[in-house]
Amino acid sequence: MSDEEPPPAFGIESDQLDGMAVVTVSGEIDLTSSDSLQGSIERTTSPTVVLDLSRVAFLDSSGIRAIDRSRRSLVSQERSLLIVSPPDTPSAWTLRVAGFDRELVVESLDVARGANGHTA
Amino acid sequence: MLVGGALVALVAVATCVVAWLLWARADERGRAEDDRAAQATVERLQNSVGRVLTSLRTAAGLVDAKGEVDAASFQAWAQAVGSIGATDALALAEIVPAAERAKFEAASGRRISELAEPGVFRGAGRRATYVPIVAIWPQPGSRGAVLGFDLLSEPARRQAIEKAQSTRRTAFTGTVPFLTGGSGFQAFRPVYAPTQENGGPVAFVSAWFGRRMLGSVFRDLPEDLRARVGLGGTEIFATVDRPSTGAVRSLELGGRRWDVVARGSDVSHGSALAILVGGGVLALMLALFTAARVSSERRLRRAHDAERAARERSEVLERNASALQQLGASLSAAALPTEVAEAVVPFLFESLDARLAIVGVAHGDDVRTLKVVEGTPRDEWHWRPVSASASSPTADAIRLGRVVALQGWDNIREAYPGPDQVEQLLAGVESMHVVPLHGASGAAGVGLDERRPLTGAEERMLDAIAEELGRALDRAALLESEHEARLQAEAMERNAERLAAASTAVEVAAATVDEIGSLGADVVFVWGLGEAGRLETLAASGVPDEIAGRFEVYPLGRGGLVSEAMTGRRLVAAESGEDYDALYPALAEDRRRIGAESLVALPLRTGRGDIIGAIFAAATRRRWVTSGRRALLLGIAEQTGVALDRASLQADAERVAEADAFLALVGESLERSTTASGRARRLVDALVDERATFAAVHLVTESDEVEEIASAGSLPEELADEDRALRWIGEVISTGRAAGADELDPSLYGGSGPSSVLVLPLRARGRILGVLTIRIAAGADWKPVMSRSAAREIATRAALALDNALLYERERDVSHALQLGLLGGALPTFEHVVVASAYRPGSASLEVGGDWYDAFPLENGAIALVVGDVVGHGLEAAVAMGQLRGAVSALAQWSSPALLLERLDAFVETVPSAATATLAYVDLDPTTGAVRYACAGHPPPLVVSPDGRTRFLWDGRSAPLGSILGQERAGAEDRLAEGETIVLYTDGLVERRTAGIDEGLQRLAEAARRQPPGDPRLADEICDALVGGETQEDDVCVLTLCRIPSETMFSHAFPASPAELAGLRDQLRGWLEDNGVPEDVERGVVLAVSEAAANAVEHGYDCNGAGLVTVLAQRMDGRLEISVRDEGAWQEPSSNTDRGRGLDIIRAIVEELSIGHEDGATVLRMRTATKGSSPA
Repeated sequence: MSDEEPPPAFGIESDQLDGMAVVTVSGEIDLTSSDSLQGSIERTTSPTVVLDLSRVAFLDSSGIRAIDRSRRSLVSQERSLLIVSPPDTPSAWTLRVAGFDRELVVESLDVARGANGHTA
Repeated sequence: MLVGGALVALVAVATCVVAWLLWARADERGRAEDDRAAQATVERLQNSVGRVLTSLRTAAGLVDAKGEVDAASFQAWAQAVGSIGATDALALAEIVPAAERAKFEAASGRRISELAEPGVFRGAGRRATYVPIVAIWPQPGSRGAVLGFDLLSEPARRQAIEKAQSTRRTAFTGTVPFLTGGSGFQAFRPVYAPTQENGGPVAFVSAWFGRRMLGSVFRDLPEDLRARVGLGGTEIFATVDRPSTGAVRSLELGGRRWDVVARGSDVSHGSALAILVGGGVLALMLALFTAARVSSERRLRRAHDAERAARERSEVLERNASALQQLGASLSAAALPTEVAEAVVPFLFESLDARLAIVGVAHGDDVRTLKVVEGTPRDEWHWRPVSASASSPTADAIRLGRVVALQGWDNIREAYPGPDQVEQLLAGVESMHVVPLHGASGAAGVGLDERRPLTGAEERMLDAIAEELGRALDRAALLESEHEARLQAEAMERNAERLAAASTAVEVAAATVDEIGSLGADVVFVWGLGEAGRLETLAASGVPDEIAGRFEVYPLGRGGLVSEAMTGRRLVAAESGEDYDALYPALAEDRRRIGAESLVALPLRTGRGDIIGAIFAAATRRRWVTSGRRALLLGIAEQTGVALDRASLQADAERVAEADAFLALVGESLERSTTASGRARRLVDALVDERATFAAVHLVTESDEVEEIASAGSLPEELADEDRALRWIGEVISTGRAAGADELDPSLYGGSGPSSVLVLPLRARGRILGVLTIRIAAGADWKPVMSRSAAREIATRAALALDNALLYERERDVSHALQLGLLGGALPTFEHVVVASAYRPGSASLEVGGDWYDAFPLENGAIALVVGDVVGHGLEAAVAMGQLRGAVSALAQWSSPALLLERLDAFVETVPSAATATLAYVDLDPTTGAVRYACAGHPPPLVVSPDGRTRFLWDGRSAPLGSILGQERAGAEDRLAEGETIVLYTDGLVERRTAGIDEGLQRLAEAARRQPPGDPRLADEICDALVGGETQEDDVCVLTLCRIPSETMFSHAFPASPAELAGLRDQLRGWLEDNGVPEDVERGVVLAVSEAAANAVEHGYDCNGAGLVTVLAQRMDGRLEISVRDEGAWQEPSSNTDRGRGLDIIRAIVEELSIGHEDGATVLRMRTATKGSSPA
């Protein structure tokens, strides 16, 4: 067993901001946690959902899978998903490597609010 | 003939002449013969009688001077005369007057008698003169009476004597009887005294000529002589063969005429006859020959004539025939009746030198007529229909069945006044001749520019042309009906093909619509009989949308063709718009809008006769619904009905099959996971993939709460309200009945209207585990792709699978806990070595067995490895095993291997159930590799070198624990080099009932050497290789230790559970940092390895943690070689692109990636540079 401090615990918080639902994730997103992520997103109701991955330490394909499924589910309800992922963070890196749709990715929460402002 | 006749005549004549000549000659010869015969006879006569008679004259010399005849001289004379041989007798008779009679009698001595009758003498009466016979030669017998008779008394003689006397010559009597018998004639000659000149004779000499004598006279005559001698008309001699005719001679002898008729030898007229006959035959033959020649010539000539006539005729026919053949050829090329008839026109002009050609073709009530003036170009030919009852040359000819022939323009005009165009055509026509075709199929004729009837040859030609035309029209009609029939058959075939290709009801209907459309219908509808007796449109063409919309469901109540067809279960048609309007006045408007002039509707039936739909077709022209079309439509309807039936059955079957397949798939998919959550995940994913837009599984936890285990798809509106949704779920769980959104009380559950959201209970083994919520997707035809019953089926299966998984999980958890408890959890990790273990329970699967393994550090820094086998299974064995294990780890601390065994011997005395356990113990100095070991009744450890060499450690062996009390135990020493691996195992690994332990050891060595050096998976590999998929009774336990420097190698094996991934990442990060890998590379490597490991966890084991995933990484020459290995049958990521995403990420990061399957394991290898380079 390693002596290093354990990785930040995985956690999801849902909030509302400017009429948008904000789902903030922290810790590592992998197989163990991707389902929860998907569920959290799908439980939102607002037209626009913001997924904040700033504090995510690790994101793998299962996480991306969960995000994608959530997005599709939202789109079928004519809702939209925005992803906050500051550059050079692990999540941004994985999103880039996975070729995830760049249009959905914004740098910060403020940008997300601004975008929402345009579409509102 | 003349020649012949002349010849015959000539021959005949010649023959006759020659024959006549010959005949004459023959006659002459005959006559000559006769003459000769007569001459001969005469000569004979002369020679005989004549000589006698002549001799009688010489009797005169008999008288002497006295005038007396001497009897003796008479005798001499008589002899001389008699020698002639012609007389019977000669006599001398005296004349005695009556006065001297007495004297005479006295002198002669005989009486003179009178011959009264032959043979009867009487005394002579008183006579004047008597002539008694004085002498007679030949001298008679004593018949004196002969001498004395009176010849004068006999009248015949008297006459002769008197005649002789008077004539002084010889005189014959006629035929008189002789006194001596017989008869003949007598010649008297008077004899005179020589000096006496007058006076009477002195005597008479007489010669008797008897017949017989005469006959003998003539006897010398040649035999072939026939003669008849007559004297004075009396025949006195004849040959046997009396000639009736012949040469006639007569001569006088004795004053009497003698007649001789004699015939000589017959002269044959044979030659003449022959000639005659021959000539006649010849002539006959000639005549016959001539006649024959003549008749044959005549025949020949007749034959010649006939031949010539025939040749002429055939020439004519040939000429006509070639013309007709051409006509026939051109007719057979044409197909339409009008084409056929048009082909005749040039022939009419050619063969008959006509000015106008007329053809007519009967067509139902009309006669289509074509009149062409010679020289009119083809494209100006116009067919005109004429009523069959009208007055026109063609119609008349056809109707009346006879030739229409008119001469003279006025006559023609009068008979057929006709419209003006006709007049134009008829201008210049002076005679018309039209013949009907046989079967009243048409007519053909010509108009000539001369006023005359057709010649015989022309008539014949026209007849021949008409015949050809009639035949061709028949052929055309036949071809047409054949064509129709073929078209129909083709249409049926085509339709059958199309229908065969159609699989759904809509496709079937579309195919039928096409087919009927291609037959010429302008509007086609096909309806299917759905639920509640509604006819729903399956396919339609040719109607504007608004009308089509009104017939989307056919309003059967309104009546119409379709209603009638459905109720009457038969084809119903209207052949014209008026007919239809009359029948269905209410629908007339619609009909007019569609523009249909002939309409037909017919029901569609299944093979069993049930009605499953209807067809409607209409055309904008009348009489489209011919009887042929009806038959075809009925045939198409039959095909379509069967196909529709098939399609719907197929659709049903497909749905069932699909449902089955889906269920099977789901079942299979579920099988692959052994956890309830895994199965739930697979279930909802599978459902959302194909059948549902949303699926979720909720399970009831042990604390009676409802927890969502997995969900997929977009949350339907009905479930948006979480509370309401949970109430709904709760309702279903408590009632145990499925509920769709529409079955629930809206006030309680909200929602409105029909919904395809369904909440189904998951029931297994009598209890409700939870619910499956689905929103069934709608299919292309707006029907749900899955029926509720199918959904229920899925729920049932899923429930069972989930329950099984839950059970298994529980049990596995229990056994895991037990095992872990007994085995003391995971093995510690050591530096410089990789230790791995594998445990395969025996066939009593979940029951813990008596094998154990252990690895623990010793106080002196060595690593101890032990593998042991307690006899038996079950709790007792487990307890014993646990105790023994504990004892080993305690007692090993300060013991050598041998000493340990001795102490264990003592220990098992107190734990009898541990007695006879076997055990192998090894301790290793990780820095030097020094090994000490001992085996108590246990198979020898195996050492495997990196280069593949293997050796068993056979030393240090002794008996199982506690078996021999107080026995000294032996130990042994060895060395494990870097890279070598030592393997401990239980006998279940190598012992087989069917083979010896040696073989097992062999196989073990084989399996061990196959693995790469330092493979932490070695234990599992060995287990797999040796026991593989077999169910083995005995437990199998393998413990391996590999001595490797760990700096350049990273090795981490972990149970295949998602929770382990974080730990892997941490370990890897640590190793990478230790090896100086820069951060950006580290990030990439960690992500890649995590992805690969996550794949292994997901696919290899489906997150159940029962297997091991091994990650190996090696740093060499600025590269990293990484392998991730699992023992599952990793499927390639299927169509689900999500799963492939991980691989895509890895590919984007590393330089090389390969996925291989080795020995039932999946190994993913990656290579990447350690120097910083941003991933692609």
